[in-house]
Amino acid sequence: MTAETTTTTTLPRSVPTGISLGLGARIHRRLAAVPTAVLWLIVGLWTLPSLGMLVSSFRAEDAVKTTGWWTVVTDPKLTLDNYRAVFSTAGTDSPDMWRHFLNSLAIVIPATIIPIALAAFAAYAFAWMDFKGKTWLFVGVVALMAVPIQMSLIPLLQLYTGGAHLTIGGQTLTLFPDLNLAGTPAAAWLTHIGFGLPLAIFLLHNYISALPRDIFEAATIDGADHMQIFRRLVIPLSVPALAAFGIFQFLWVWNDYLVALSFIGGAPDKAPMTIRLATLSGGRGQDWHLLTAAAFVSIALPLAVFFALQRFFVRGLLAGSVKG
Amino acid sequence: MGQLLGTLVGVAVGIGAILGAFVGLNALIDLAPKRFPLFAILAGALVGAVVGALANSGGWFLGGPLWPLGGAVVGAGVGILWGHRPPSPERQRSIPDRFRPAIFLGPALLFLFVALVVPTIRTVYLSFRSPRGDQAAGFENYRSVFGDEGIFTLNGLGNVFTSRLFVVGVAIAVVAVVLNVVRGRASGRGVDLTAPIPSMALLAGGTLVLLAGVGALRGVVWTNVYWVVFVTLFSTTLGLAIAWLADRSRGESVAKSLIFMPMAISFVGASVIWRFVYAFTPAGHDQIGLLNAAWVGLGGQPQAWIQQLPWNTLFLIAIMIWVQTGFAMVVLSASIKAVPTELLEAARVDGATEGQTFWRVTLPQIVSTLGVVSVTLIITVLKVYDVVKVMTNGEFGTNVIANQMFDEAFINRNLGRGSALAALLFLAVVPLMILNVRRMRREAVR
Repeated sequence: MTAETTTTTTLPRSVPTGISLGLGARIHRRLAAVPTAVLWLIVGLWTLPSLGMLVSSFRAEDAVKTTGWWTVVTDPKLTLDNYRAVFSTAGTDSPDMWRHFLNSLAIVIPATIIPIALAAFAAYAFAWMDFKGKTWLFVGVVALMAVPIQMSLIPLLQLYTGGAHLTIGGQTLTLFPDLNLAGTPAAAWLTHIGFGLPLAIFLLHNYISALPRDIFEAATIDGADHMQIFRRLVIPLSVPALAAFGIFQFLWVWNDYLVALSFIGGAPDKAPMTIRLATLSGGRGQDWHLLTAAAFVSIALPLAVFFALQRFFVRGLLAGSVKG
Repeated sequence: MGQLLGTLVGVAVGIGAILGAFVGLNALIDLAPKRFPLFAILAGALVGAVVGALANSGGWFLGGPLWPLGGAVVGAGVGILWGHRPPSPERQRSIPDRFRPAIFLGPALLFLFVALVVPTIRTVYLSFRSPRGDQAAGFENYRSVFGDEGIFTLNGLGNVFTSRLFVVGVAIAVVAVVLNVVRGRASGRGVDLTAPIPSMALLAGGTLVLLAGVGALRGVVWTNVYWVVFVTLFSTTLGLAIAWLADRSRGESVAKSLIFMPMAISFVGASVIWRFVYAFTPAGHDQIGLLNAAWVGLGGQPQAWIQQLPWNTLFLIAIMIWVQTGFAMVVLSASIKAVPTELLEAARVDGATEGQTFWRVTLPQIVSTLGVVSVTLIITVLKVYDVVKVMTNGEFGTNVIANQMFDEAFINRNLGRGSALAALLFLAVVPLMILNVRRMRREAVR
């Protein structure tokens, strides 16, 4: 009897495993294993495509092209040749993934670090300063989160290639000089800073505004001003939120294809990995030995970051979509 | 490697400049109550330098240092005069508090303005201009977009209603409703379409009707609609189911990690992974694609899944579902775990089954989260681009608005039509934007 009540109210793992269980309890235990079985079946299906890619990247070219990757079970021959090939720089059409890996880094580093700094200032102002129109300004920033990137592509490309000018009474003001940014990493990371900021401000504001009021009051009584509070209290306390956004932005920028294609598409030697992978997929679509290896190289770093810092990533995701 | 080092140095310098300017400006306004004349000179010089840089031919410092420097000198002069006639001490003391928010907000707002606000306005403007943007065009771009059979058409609408999928779908829905009404009357419990069986039947019926649409009604706009509806529907439902299963299974965290993993993979990477799953070799050869191998194993003929109309779009949509289900699952899982245990205990004490507890207790508790997840998914999927670009480049009837927009704007060089297509996406997002803002304000009140 006790066993039965336990099974109905708690998770299956806490079911006593004694031999003296009644028939009802035994059936119940079997049934309790059903969710686990179904779940792991789904997990298996979900992982199979990635597994296929990973296994194929270690198989020889003719094996990949003529037999299914699942035949490794009976014919386990693995090689690193494909990885050597995707990092090769020989010939004009070599995948040269290392160069594109560095290109990706050159975009992702500024695009991740700079918005964190800018958003921290802004989030603090929204959370703990009083000024006119604060609510509406914040609402506006949050509304910008939903604006499709497509709305910015054409005007930004014009800005990067021709600058922005304003003529008032014959005198031309240069709001933004023609810096010839198209085709440089800067065009991509400047754009990513702008696109990342609404979410960054929103996430950090959620977190910073929830810090206990007492510590701010205590600091003010001790004579601290906004700058000191910001630097000594808010930044150290907000590290989890800063990390959450950092991972978000890192994954978003690393995995971006559209922004890079729009602004760096014309300069293949500056292209990040996503563009290189897409080009390989279009031009050498049947070279599965190269494609699988190149795909794995391009997703290895984000996967590592993801698995190592998943906790922060999930926290950011939840702060962005579930009410606290 | 050298380029990367250069970037790193550049980033360090940039961050240093931002922080330096930030600290400097804060120090500057703190000066106002203490030494007003000095503050007036420095502030004047700063404003003068900025105005001078903007007026500089070529822009900023590109036209030489004369204008910015000259501006600074003039500004400093004005500052000296201002310092001789300072405002009242009270006003001097209020300067730091009045300008501090601007210094904290300024840099971020500047970026938002340049990268999002102004471009959005400009894109709307360009959508009413000629291809090169030099002449007014009225609604011509919108008219040509909606007049383009490949982008928007109602041809085939009639075939939707006569297709078997539609008939079966509607039949299922009608039977479910009728049965529910009859049984509700008989038992005296009234009509309840939110009970598990009728609502699932309605869902299934709706899906069949949508499939009828996929089969008969094509074009870029409709394809985009199918993307949004199918991904939102299936990612949310699957995510919810997996979250619920995981809540009562062994190895929960590992299983959730693996389902969540595709979120870390780029759409380009995911597309390559799935192109391999869908790979096709002619009959008689070994199939290297997982799907064809399974299909042939079941006795079918190998298929070129992503090239065959009309169902190829569904195979592309499956990729997006594969990626987004993890997102839905993580958020919904947190929400399920936040349902108060007392409620669940009470339901079980009252003799509710697992299913009833889920349907009548858990589900109503997480309904607002379901809404949030759906809205987020819709916003994401509306602008789907990468998957279509990499898988088919929009061919074989799989094109979507974002890809059409890219081709119009950057390949055909028709800024007007490109902007009109972008504005279409924006228009679709506006109601969701309002929804988000209202939800946020409601939560802020609490």
